[in-house]
Amino acid sequence: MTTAYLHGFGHYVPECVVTNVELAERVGRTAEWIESASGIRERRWAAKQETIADMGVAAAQDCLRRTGVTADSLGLLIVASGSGALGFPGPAAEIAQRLGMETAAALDVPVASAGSLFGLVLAMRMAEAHGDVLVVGSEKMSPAVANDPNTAILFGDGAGAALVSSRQGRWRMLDAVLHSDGQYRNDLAFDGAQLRMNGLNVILHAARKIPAVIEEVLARQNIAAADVRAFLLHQANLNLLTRVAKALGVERERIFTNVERYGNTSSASMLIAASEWAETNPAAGPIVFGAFGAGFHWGALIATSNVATGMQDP
Amino acid sequence: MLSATSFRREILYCGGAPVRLIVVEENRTQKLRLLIQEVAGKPAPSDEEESLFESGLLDSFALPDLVSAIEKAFAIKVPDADLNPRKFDSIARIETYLANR
Repeated sequence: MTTAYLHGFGHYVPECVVTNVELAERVGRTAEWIESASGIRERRWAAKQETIADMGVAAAQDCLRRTGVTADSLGLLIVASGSGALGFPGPAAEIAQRLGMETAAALDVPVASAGSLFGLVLAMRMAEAHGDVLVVGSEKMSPAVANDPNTAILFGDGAGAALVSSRQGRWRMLDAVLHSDGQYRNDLAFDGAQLRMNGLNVILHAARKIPAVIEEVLARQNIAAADVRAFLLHQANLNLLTRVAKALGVERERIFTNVERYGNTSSASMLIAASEWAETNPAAGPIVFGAFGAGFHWGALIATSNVATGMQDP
Repeated sequence: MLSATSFRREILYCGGAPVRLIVVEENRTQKLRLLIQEVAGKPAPSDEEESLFESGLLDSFALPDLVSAIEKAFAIKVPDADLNPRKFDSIARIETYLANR
């Protein structure tokens, strides 16, 4: 039985807003078409000099501030980033050093869209040994997609963070399921210069695998989808999230969305969504995290409000 | 292997009152055409070899809807191993897939 708890979240998005109107001429589509195809109205693109580490540090500091934890007490940092995955070292070491973590371990998870979920599950499993674990997802997708009309409309930049600990916190992490299937590794890939996506296959598998893995983890905990307070999922596309809600048999509103404002920020998106959701929602009831992305990698995690300690409300 | 024909029960009404139960023989291709029309909101192509995606009839989000509709209509479960867009790219290819089930 797990003894890990989620304490809170944080996020950072760049200042520069890129609207559909600004992109429309460049990609040869109308602003209305972009919104109907993706649900996205605008996205944030980082400044040229702004790095994955810069955004990761900002999200991490926001999370530490909200949870009242100082960086020197962290036992482990896990950084998910697909767009920063090429070469070494990854961004984890720089983010840890800039936060002031001294020599605490820092681990890179180059898993792209499902990266933060994999990071959260790793943190859940490792919290007992490491104490406070900070999970960060940070992505600078804009350079990878800027010249491709098909993907430029979908992706954005940003970072999210979550604090997981063996200490009692707002949500107890109950269970998680992770899956990977490398036969689809070429359907969604970034080679350091350009992102390639076989949209038909990616969406077909995502639309089936996300609800299936959520049902898998819910069944293991004997919890019905209808009893879940909120689904905090990777924000890939509004049309996809609508289909996930339908497949789960829950109202669309039960799935929190901010893809309309930020686009798909890959590994950062699930934690940015969780951070915004937690700002305005009490912790009561079960919440489910879920993600699907390049690899393919996908999974789901369920947590529930820690009623026993009276920490269910912010 | 799924049969190329199936039978559907239908109640005939007259003035709002049920008057007769009839059995309608359904051709699998006709059933498929109806499903595609329901998902796409437009009639299925007359050419059974025509790509449903390249013709613009179905987009990437309609594909999972079509697969779900096929599962429901033919009472089958399409396993993850069969989730390949090429298997569902035309009426002929879907026919082949269903015939080999």
